[in-house]
Amino acid sequence: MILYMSLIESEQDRSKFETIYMDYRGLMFYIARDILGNDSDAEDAVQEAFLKIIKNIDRIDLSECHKTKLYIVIIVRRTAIDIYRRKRKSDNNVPFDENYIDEGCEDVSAGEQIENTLDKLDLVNAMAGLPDRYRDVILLKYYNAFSDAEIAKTLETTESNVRKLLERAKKRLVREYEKGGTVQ
Amino acid sequence: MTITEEMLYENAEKAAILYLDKTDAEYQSENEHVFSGRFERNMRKMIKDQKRSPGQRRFISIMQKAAIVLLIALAGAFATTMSVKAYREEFINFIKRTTHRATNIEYRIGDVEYCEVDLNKTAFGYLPQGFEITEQKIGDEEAFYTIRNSDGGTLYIDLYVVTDTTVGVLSINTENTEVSYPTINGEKALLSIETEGLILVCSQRNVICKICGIVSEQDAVRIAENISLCFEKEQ
Repeated sequence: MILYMSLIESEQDRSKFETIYMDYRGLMFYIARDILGNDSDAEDAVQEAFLKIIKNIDRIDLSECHKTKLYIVIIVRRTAIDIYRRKRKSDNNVPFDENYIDEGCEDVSAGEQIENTLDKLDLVNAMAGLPDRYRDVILLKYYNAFSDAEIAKTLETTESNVRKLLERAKKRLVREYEKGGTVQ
Repeated sequence: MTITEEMLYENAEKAAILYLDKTDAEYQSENEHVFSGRFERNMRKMIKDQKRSPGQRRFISIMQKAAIVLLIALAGAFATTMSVKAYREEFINFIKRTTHRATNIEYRIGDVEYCEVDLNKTAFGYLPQGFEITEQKIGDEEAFYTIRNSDGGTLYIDLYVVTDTTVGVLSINTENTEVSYPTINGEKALLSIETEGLILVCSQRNVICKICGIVSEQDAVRIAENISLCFEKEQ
């Protein structure tokens, strides 16, 4: 029975992979090309992203289309950024603002700020408008309901890094919320 | 009003959809990209690989981590140094050494009710439903069986005879696997389970049996328990 179930699961996984490929490859390509600037590198990024998706295919539930899409968008964007970094490594360029862990510390802990009274702005816009690195962890945690370990695996970082990112994302969220966050 | 964890959970879905809609809108005006032949070929290969029999695909992974069994000729007249009494008092020694990545087992006849065995007469009293032997290669001191079902599920069963002049050395990569030592037919065995399948190593008298594949623990143990070996004569 276990063997049978194992095969069924795999059948589903196989179908899932093809569905993702057909439905999302275009979007994945455009996201990657935006970051990498050319078609060839973008295709490499899409292919690399699919390899990561295969490894994590069990995390994807096609019935949750927005969660699936968000997960795929994050995977391909991160993959494209990694490729960009590898290509620019020799130039010592730091692309984008992905130096997230080295960002300056803020005095008040996110925990304290999160308790501040804030009632005037739109939290949805503030969350959607966060910088990529913060929005990724916030949405993976609070929408996709990933554990810190799962987020770390998805973003190819450490759990400790994820916790720091979440802390800083919340601080940023409070700031944006106060200002009246909008989608950038 | 404060931003609580509950608020983050409540608003996350809308935020995700807003972000995804914005992302879609950015690329809506793009012409449909025609992927290069290289990309299409690579992706076809990837999809084809995904379509390959899951059992075989997973099994490749298992085999990469699987056991290596070596029958090494012992230097010197090992057997002649043993007394007849010793032969009858002990059985195959199960010597386990564990490192952080591997579990090594040494099967050595220190003794034994050493028996000749005719591997050609081996019978499998139990195979999971739908499975049958599709290939077999049987020699004097080792036998290899490939057992398949119609859904592409594959099991491999290897038998190795440890003689009075050989020692069976087995090394299993047990990193990130769940290892246990069940008793099968009165002998200590090793069971290594990972997400992709399992490896069971057990012994009957002086024959080591290795079962490897995608099968439940219960089925693997039942297969092992029901392997009937034809021991011919005791020394």
